[in-house]
Amino acid sequence: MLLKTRLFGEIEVEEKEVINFTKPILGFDDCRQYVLVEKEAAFPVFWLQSVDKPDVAFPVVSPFSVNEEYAIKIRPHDLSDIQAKNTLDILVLTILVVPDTITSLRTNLRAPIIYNPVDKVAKQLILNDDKYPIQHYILDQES
Amino acid sequence: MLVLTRKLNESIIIGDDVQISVIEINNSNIKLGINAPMDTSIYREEVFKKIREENESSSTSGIIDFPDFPKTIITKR
Repeated sequence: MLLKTRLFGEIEVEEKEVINFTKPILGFDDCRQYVLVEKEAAFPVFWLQSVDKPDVAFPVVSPFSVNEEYAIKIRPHDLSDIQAKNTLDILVLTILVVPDTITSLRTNLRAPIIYNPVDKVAKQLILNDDKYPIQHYILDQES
Repeated sequence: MLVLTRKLNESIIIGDDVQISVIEINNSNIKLGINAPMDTSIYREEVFKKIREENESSSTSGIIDFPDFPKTIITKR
């Protein structure tokens, strides 16, 4: 199917690539289906592009690329929500905010997205402890 | 909104399996104890709101494709 997008123009997407969110990304109740868009020059950043709304796309990154020691506890019901049997079956992504001032580039380590790439199911978690910030700045603030 | 008055150590029950108790009252702070099933999500409202705001800020982000970006993001901790 042909997908209209704000960032990438029209892109061709196969049905089987569509990711279903069992719980919506917080604040985006109308957007349950996404595709993961890769852009070579932007690695390791990917985009979760909404299938329902062309305007909605979240840049995402592996949290391990910004914090090697990132570790979260995933509860059994969160795993079963995305049809995964164990944590080896899933990918973790965190949402990036790319503001006009690039030094404020940040990612939300407190609310990661867990994604089962085999069954194409995902959800956004909110971690109970405050070990990781909602705004984790990636670049040095002085530079 | 339903409004109930509770004293110290009193509780309210919500549904079949959620219990909220007043544990401590100290000036303007009230400490609540919550008993709920493991799969019940419980968050402070301000955390919830902040995450929603961050999601909204993210959704309008532009494309990042200046060549320095990937290296920076990989090496910086």
